[in-house]
Amino acid sequence: MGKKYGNIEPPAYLLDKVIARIDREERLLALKRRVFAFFVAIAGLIPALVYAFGSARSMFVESGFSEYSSLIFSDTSVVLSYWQSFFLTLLETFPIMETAIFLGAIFILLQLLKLTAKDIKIINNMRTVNNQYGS
Amino acid sequence: MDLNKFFQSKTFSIITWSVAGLILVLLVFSAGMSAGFKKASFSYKWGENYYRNFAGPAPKFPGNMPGHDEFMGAHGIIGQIIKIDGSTLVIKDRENTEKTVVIKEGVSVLRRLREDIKLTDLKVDDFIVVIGEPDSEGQIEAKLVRILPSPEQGLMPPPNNDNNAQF
Repeated sequence: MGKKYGNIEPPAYLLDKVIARIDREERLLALKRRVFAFFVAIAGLIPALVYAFGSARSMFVESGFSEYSSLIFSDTSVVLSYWQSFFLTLLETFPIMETAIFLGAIFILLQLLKLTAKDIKIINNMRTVNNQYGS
Repeated sequence: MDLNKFFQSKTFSIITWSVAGLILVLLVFSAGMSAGFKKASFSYKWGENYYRNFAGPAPKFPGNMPGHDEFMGAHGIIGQIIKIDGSTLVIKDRENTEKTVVIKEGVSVLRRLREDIKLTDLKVDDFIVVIGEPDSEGQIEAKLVRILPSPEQGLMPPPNNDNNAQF
């Protein structure tokens, strides 16, 4: 048996192919870890987003912003006549920081979703390439 | 629908950068408010201490003056009427801060539900929302006064009764 296959030389490109495959697998592993980290971050961000939304919502009510803004619908003509006072009232009662925090959480979530989708696509492409060319 | 395509699309970029732009605007606005507050606070304290610094102690009004920790809304108030004196209303807001609202005939519009009302229709304990302009005497000249359902009816958070009223 040993004598029968003893003279077979491995192809010259085998080493490069093995190295390339190892490189692909390492990149795939790194991408999978990144996607996992993104999923964890998204899972952590969603409760924070809900909390930020609740906080902003309650501040809109507590500051009186919602009552003032409802005057647009109940007293449209008067509000339009005195729009400067009305606008300044809205600015005075607008919960800036709570809204900024909520929007910041949304921005981070959107960016995370974008990066996750991009990485998942790369992972799928790499898997397809691996399946096509085998080991 | 290919999510990845959507996330790489121009629409998604516009949405995310609009959100980022909005955050930036809010932060700049907040910074402006903060700078304005510092200036107003300094001016207020400078005025408050003027006599003490330059002409000896001045008689001091008892109680805490509002405005030390935060801005007061100058263009509107939501609260309960605690006093009606002619065309002047004293309103206690949710922070238990009392503000004076001046009703001017021919300028101020008073409304309840869908009908216009008169000053005489307003009663002590009514909950109102006022939009107006601050005058030089620290009062609000009302442009619009609308009677609201009372907090017990659930359409407005009740006033904060933890603190004593500020004058």
